[in-house]
Amino acid sequence: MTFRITNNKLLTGRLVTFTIVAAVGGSLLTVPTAQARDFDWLDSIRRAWSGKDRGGSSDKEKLQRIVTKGSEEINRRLGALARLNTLVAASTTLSPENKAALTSEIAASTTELNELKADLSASSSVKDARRIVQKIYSQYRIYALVRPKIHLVKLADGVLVTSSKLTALAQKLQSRITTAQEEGKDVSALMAKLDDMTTHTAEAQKIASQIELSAISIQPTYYSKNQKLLLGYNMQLKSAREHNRAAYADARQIVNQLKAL
Amino acid sequence: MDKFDKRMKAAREDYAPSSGFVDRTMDEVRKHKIHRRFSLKVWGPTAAGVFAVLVIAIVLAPKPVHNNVVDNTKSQSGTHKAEKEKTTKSPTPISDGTDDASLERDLGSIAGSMSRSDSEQSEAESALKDNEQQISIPTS
Repeated sequence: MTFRITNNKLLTGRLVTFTIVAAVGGSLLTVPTAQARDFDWLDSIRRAWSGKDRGGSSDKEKLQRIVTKGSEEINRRLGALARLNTLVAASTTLSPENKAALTSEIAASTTELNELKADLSASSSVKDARRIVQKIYSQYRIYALVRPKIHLVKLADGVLVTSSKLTALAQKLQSRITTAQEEGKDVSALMAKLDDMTTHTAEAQKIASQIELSAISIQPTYYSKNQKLLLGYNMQLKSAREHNRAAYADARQIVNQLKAL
Repeated sequence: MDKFDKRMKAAREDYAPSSGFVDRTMDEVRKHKIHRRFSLKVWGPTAAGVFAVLVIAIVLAPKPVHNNVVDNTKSQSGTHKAEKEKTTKSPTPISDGTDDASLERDLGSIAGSMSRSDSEQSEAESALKDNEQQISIPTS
């Protein structure tokens, strides 16, 4: 009987001693580490007690992070617009009207984004800041719409330039074929090739003209309803370029055969 | 060692260019006859007649025809033949741009335009692939 009471006391004592030593030692190790990482014990206890913002930062800090993130995204888009402006100004295929329209659109987007940035910096609540940042994506679509749109309009104008050169060449080839015919040469094969060339050129011109008009007028609000629109334009312009290639091949054959006559 | 001590012991273990004949000597008569034979009154009208005949002959005579304009194939000098060969071998340049060299230049220009369109197509496709993601707003 005396042994059991004595054993329990011994074990209990050892357990209590161990617990006290572990707590003190752990505190000595963790507190300096936490303080090095700016972890405020009292503040975390207060927050946990209040049940608010269990993520661990104040509204002011969160607002600051949203403003910083939003400003970075706006600056990225402003940089992209500046590069697009340089691209449009340097283009030799864009028509003067399209160049003016695209330059104007880029300038307007730049101005509006700068205004948005100012609004974001002046926002006083997290909710307000979130709303403004969402607009960067939903209202401007610089990467999803403006950038590919400019490239597609450039491409359409380039196809039209090629088609106009093919049309002028077809007229010269017609003149040479007529001269050969008057000299008594057989030009039936050449005439058939020329007709094929003219048909391909006309088709390329028709497609590129339609895409040019459609692409340049598309706005972000309409784009949101049909995000695959630009992909369709791209496919059609590929088809227009194939027509130009076929017309070029016909022209090459006609020139070679005229030399041999 | 009692039982208690034994038990205690056991517990302790543990990312770009030419006039009347009156009284004269034979000499005078001879001189007169010679004078008369070679005077302007005898030969003047003769000369004038001959001159008139020549003028009429020249005016009424037919004009000679030049062979080098009408008949190239039958009578050609060496220089005329060379000029003709030069004309047939090198064609006269056509001013409307339909000669072979102009057509080749046009084809080259069109090929250059198509090459530029290839580059623009690549840029357009790259821009289309750049899918704009919704901006992730920091929540903490």
